[in-house]
Amino acid sequence: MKELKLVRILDFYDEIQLFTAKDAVGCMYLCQLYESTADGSDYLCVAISQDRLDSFLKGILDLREALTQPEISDQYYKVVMKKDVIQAFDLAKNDVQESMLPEEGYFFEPDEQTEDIDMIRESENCGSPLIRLALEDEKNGHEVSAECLSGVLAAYRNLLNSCYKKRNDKEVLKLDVVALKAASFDIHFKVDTSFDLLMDTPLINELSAIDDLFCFEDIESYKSKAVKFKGRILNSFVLLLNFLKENKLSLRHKWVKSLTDGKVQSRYTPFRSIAKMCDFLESENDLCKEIREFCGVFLASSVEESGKWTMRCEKIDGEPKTKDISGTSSDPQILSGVTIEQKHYRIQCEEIQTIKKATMKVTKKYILVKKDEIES
Amino acid sequence: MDPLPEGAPPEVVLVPNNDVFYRITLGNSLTNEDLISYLQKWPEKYQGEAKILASGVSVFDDLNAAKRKMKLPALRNHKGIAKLTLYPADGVVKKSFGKYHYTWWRTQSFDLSKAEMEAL
Repeated sequence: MKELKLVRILDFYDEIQLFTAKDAVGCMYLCQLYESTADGSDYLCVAISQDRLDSFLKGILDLREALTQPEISDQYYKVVMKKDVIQAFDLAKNDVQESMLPEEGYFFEPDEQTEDIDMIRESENCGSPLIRLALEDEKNGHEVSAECLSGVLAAYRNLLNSCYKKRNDKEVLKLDVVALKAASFDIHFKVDTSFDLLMDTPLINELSAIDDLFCFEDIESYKSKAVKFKGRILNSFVLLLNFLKENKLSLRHKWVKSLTDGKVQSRYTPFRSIAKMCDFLESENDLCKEIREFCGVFLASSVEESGKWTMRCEKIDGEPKTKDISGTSSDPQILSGVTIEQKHYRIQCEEIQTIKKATMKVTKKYILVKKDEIES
Repeated sequence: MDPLPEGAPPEVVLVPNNDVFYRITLGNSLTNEDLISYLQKWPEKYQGEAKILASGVSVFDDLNAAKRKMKLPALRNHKGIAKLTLYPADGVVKKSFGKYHYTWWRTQSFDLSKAEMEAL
């Protein structure tokens, strides 16, 4: 007996009819339901190579042929799915009955693009949603500067995390680059999270928001859309746009939406749209402003020059959290009369995000715009 | 119908409005037995989130997709395909598992006699 792990549900009717699974050493199996009872579900199963599985997934190989003429001719398994456990037991060829086999003519509905199949396979193998960013310069060249590449990576990660934080009130999503391909410079990321029960990516909302941000038709409609993302998300988006604009790059954003549907979402944004969006958002300063609220005591403050201050925060955006925050002031006079370490204050600051060219890390600066004394 | 488990139907669903779906039937007409969910049939078989999916029934938005499924051994004893035109009062559906497949969480008010049988 060997334990299998479900990879992809290929067909479902009231329960899983057909699925692929892999064993502990990564061997793939094709499993088809033939009997279902209150105790569990029984599947006829054969080991299958990736090439033959591709042929099935492209709608070329008949399911009956895949099961009656397996690559290892006498090797069949009875797979039992009971609750979350999938176990494969050896099954003699003579015990494979006609009633366990499909009729001729069952072909899998192929996915639309081979590229999408590859992306889905990559996602299945790593068990995480896969994202691709394809950068394309004017000449569709196969190179990109290291500075631009690292800038785009840092800015994209920051944007995805800003969208994630907005919905989940937490960060940080871990992104791992799993491949770099030359054809119009192509970056493959794996997100450190798993697919949900329906095999949909749990980041549908965040990745759809990024697609939505990259969809540009005209200034007017873009303005009304941008309002929805006001604050840190737009701020993060502008950081990414700036890298693309400076390097005159178009961008294709692709991601695996669902493993069961074999669905890959794709959006291409030409450089001219990127430039227009960037110019528009930079002219609409208020849209990109993120206002943060801190409560605590000032450890230091200065009414000179840029009005520097440091606060030991006890609450950040209404949530109890201890952290020292430093910043400057829009008007140094806001800080006049501040009592250091004794009195408690609630301050509002504009958050400015920048990417440090040397380290390519996103840093946040805070500009004090309002201060109120509060009870401790 | 038994009450649905917690989390069923999921938050993001479609409300059908004059939309056509197909359900494979055991006999030559649609009966209550055809619309019993696996969770009703075998309540002990499913755990956790799997209960949510098992609490709905499968339908397709394409007749040929339904016909193709009948080639599978687990559905070989099924004899017909019912055409269902669903309205908001009939429940909600969610696109799930494959190009044409939906899970349908039906309401008690769904009228079986509205179903038309397709010629196979």
